[in-house]
Amino acid sequence: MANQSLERNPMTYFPLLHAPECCGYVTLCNFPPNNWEDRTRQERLVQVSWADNGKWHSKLLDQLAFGKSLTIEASDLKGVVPEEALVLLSLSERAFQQSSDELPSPVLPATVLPAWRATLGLRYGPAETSYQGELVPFPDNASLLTFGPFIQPGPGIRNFLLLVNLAKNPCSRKGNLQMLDAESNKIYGDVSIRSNAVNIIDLDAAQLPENKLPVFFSKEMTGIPLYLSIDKTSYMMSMEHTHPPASMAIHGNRWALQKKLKANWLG
Amino acid sequence: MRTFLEKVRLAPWLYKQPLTRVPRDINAAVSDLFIWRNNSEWKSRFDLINLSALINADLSHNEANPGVEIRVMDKEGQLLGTSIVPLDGGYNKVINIADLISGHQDEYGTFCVIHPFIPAVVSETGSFLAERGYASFQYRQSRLWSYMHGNLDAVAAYPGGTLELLGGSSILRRRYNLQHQITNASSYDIGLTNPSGRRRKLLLKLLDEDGTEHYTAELELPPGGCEITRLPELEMPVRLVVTSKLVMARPIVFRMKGGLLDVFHG
Repeated sequence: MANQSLERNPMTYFPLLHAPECCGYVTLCNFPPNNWEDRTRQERLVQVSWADNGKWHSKLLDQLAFGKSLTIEASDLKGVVPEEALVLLSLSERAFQQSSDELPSPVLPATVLPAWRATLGLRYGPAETSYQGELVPFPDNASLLTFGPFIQPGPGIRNFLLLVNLAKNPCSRKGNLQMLDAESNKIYGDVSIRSNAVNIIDLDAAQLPENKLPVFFSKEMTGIPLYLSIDKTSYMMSMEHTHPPASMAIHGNRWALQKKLKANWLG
Repeated sequence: MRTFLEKVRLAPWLYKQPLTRVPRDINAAVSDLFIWRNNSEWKSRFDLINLSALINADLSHNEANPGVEIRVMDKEGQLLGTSIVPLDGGYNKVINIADLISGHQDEYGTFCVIHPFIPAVVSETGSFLAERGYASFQYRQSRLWSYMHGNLDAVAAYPGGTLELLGGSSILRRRYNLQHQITNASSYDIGLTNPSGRRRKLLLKLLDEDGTEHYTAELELPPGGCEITRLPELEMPVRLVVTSKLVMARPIVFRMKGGLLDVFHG
């Protein structure tokens, strides 16, 4: 739920997604999501940042006039960003250093109703799937709990969990993600994940029971869980993310509820 | 932090204008106002999750929990039907919305999902259990369903069955700028709901990158109602602006290319 406290939203990035046989793209929009929180009408810099060899690296890609949009695809960044790196696009009023120990902080107006977003998408042949999203760094000590009823079984259909993590530390950190069936509590998989990455988890390989609620959790790391289904026979795609468990409630101290939920499932 | 002057400037947009009002009874259950579509091209489902059982596993087999209530409305916000869906001790169940509105010819409308059994820990923290789960759409009998989560806590259901719309009202008309580039490579249907207790006028505009208007449509939505608008296919890339007195007129976007569908919210 959007928070109306009007705190500055720090370090808004737009990650370039990737998945097997898919091409990621990001469409950046240099106009605010509403007409009242930010009224600046200025050109902004389009930059790409990534972590490599224990440092953050950045490169200026373009300048975007107010009101304009720009689509950047994975193919546009070949030779610029290492293949395994998490590709972070940003809009900023200020240029980043080419190399730094600290994650650069894009200067972008803070908006909360809604947050400043971009179109984050994947293409497979003629099919596209996308959502309006953004990514801010996660704390190192955060854990993940997500319930994902999105697996669509069938011949020619592939199902993936894309776990997108961004940390301030440029050094990649490893953790584990467990998959279980909510009803039986049986563990169906335990896979390695890393920070500063789009972690691709093959859900078909885990052979989770059909029509049951899968639960995914990690005690070492969190991220945005994106559930992707691709029908390779008809070139159809679906992608959606889940919210943190605190979103099962509104108002009050819903983070206490999240703590209880995590204690139930991660404990 | 915002400066004092910024806070003064923003006051007319924020003062007593919450996105979602607080329900008046701590025992209320809250739901999104979801959109359904049902005709020869469209089908809708909802992935019902046993939220109570996720919070407290002892509640998954609780016989006092009769099931989850789904209320389906037409596009005017008028009730078409109410169904109690037993969870039979399970954690999830897929609901075909068409099964809940048989006999009705409406092609789209809204629905809400009410969890009547609220774990004590939710009320103890001063919170309200909220259903903002996952609707999915099938377009032209595609093999995959396209998922979209709820995006606005809109309806409170009180013990006894009364519903209250929780969407706040803005003093000033405000614009929602969808940060998505619309091109004629796809067709677009825009879904908008009214989560407030008053009739609302909404103005849809398509602007090019220079801010020139190329399309305008005016909608009037009753409380709890919705409208789905097909956008014209224009030669130049455009963006959507929705102006209204809703605090956040966040649209649901159905993007079609041939028989392919991409659905997302703003």
